Amino acid sequence: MKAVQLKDIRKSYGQNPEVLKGINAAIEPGEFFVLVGPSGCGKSTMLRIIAGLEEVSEGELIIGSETANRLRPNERDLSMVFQNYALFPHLTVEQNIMFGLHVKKIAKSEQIKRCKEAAEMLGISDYLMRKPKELSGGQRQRVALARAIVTHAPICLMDEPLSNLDAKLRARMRSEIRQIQRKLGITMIYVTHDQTEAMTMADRMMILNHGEVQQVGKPLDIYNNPQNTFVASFIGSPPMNLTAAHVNKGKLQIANKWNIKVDGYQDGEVIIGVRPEAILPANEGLPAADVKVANVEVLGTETLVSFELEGNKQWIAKWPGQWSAEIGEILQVSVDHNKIELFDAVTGERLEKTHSKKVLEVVL
Amino acid sequence: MSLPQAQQETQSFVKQRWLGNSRRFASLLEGLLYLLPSILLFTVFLFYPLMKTLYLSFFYSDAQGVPLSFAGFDHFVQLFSSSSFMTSMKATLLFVLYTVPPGIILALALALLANEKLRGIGFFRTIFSSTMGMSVAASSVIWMFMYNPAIGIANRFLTWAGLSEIQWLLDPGWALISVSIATIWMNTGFTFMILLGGLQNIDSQLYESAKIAGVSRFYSLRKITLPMLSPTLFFVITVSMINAFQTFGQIDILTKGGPMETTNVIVYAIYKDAFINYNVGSASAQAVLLFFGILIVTLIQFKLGERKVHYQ
Repeated sequence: MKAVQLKDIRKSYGQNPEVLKGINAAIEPGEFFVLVGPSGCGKSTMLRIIAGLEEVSEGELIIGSETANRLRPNERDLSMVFQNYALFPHLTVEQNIMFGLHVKKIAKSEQIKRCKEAAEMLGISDYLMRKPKELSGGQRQRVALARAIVTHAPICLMDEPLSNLDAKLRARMRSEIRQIQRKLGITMIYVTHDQTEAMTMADRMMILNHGEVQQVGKPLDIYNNPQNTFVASFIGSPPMNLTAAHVNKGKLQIANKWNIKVDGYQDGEVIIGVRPEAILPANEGLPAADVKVANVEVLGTETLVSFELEGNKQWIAKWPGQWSAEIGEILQVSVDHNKIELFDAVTGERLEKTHSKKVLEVVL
Repeated sequence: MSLPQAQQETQSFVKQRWLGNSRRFASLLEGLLYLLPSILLFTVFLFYPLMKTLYLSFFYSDAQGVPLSFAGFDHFVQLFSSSSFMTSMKATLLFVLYTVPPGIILALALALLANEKLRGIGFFRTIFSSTMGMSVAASSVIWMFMYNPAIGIANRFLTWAGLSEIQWLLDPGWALISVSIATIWMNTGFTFMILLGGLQNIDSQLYESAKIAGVSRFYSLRKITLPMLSPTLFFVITVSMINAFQTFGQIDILTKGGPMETTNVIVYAIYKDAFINYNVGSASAQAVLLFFGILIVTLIQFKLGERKVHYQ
C-alpha cells in the first residue's frame, strides 16, 4: 500500500487561469480519501494528475517515496475506474477484466485465476462470457471495479464511479466499494460531487472549490466544524442555514427575531450558520421565536420544515418523527445555541471563539 | 339472446371491423404520402432507368436506342465471349484493387495522425480533407499536367531522384496505375473525413484506461482503435468499392480508356458502346452485369462484415 503526497500542485491550461491553485495533501497508505466539490472545482483534474493523464504545471507529486511528476501512467502502479466505466464494447467481460495484464508479465494461468477471484468478489462470475452491452449499469460498474482489482495495484483511483447508477443501487455500491477497499487494504482516492458519498465512504476527505482546498479532515470533523461558509453549505443535507447577522455589544441579532448573547466575538457583521437539526421545536425549555411555516416535507423518520425568517430568506429545520404543520401556520422554534457557527461576513472564514466555555445564550 | 339483439351485435361487430380496416388503410395512405417525394424521385431517376436498362438489354435497338427486335440473352452471351469485355472486366477489378485498399490505408494513416491532439492540427485536417472539395474534372486536369511526359512534375521528380522517365498515361503497363494514383488522391479527402469522424467518436477514456494498463500504442491500435472503428471502416470500404466500380470521369479525361484498352473500365466501356458505337443493347447488358456485380460484392461484404464489425 502506498502513500500519495501532493505538494503545492498547480495546473493551468495555456494562458487560462489556474484550474488548481496550489493543492497540498498527504494521503496515507490504505486510506479511503475522497475529493469532493461542485462541478468544475478541479477534483477530476486533480485525480487525472495523480493518474498521470494530465501533467502537473507546478508543484510535486509523490507516490510511495518517489517523485511521480514525470512518470508515465503505467509506471505509477495504480488502477483507475472511470465515470463511464471505459469498458471495451467489443470484448467480453473476461477479456475486459484481463485487458493489459500481459504487459505486467503475469502468466496466463495467474491472469485467469485473478479474473476468477475478482469476478467472484463482485458477483459477476456468471457474466464472464458476455459483452458489456448485455449487462445492466450496475453489472458494468462491477466489471470496471473488477478490472481495477485484478491489477493488484496498491492505489486505486475512482472518478465519480457511481454517478450513472440509480439512487438505490448507488447506496448499495457505496457500501460494497468501501468493503472491498477495507478487505484489500488499498489506498483509494475517490472523486465525487455527492456529499453523501463523501460523508459515508471517506476516512478523510478534501473539499475543493474553484481549484482551492477548502478543508481537509474526517467527515464528522468537517461536518461539525466547517472551516468556511462554502464547506458549511456544501456538506450536509439539507445544507446548513446561513444568514447575515450582526454582533453588537455582545449580542447577536438575527433578522430582528432573535437576540443571542455572545461572548468573545468582536462587534460587526457576521454570517451565522445553523444546522437544520440544531433548530428545535420550542417545547424543550429553550426560549423561542415565532416563525411562519412555508413548506413541510414528511420523510417518515424525520420531517423537514421550511420557514420564513425574513423576507424571502428561508431556513430549514429537521425534526425527528412525523410532524403535521400547516403551511402558513405560526410555529415557535428555538436554536440549540451550542451548535451555532459564526463566519466572517467578508471572507466567509470561520470565526473562532476566543474565550469562555458557554459563549452563546439565547435571550429574547 | 333474442334474434334482433344478436343481429344488432353482429352488425356492430362488422361495423367495427370495417372501421378498423379503414383506419389501417388511412394510416397506410398517410405513410405513403410522407414517402411520396422520395418515391417520385427514386422512380424517375432510379427505378425507371433501371427497368428500362434491363428491358433494353434484351433487345436489339437502332442508333437512337429504339428497340427493334427481341434478342433474349444474345447480348450477354456475346459479352462473355468477347475479349474486349474481358479486358474491361480485368481493368475494372484491377482498378478496384489498386484504389480501394491503398486508398483506405492511406486515409486511415492520415486520420490517425490528424486525430492526435497537437497544436495546429486543424490546419492538417483541412489540408487532408481538401480534395473532397474538388471536382473529378478539375483534379483530373491537374493530374494530366503532372503526368505530362514533357512538362509534368512527375517525370521531373523521377529524373531528380535519378530514375528514368515514365510515359505515365501512354505506357500500357503504367496507365492504369497512374489513373489509380490520381483516383486515390481524389478520394482521400472523403475517406479521411469519414474515418476521422469515426476516430473522434471513440471514447477517449478507453485510451486512458489502456494508458494506465500500460499497453503499447500498436496494441491499442489493434485492440481498441480498429475494432471500435470497424463500423466506419466497413462503411468506407463499401462506399469506396462501389465508387471504384463506377469510375468514369478521370478515365474519360486522362486516358479515354487507352492505351490498348488497359484503362477501359466497365463504365467507360458502357459509355463507349452506348454513345460512340451506338450499341445500346450491349451497353445495357453490361450495365445490368455491373449492377449485379456490385450487388453481389456488397452482399458478400455485409455477410463477412457481420462477424467483424462491432456496433456499440
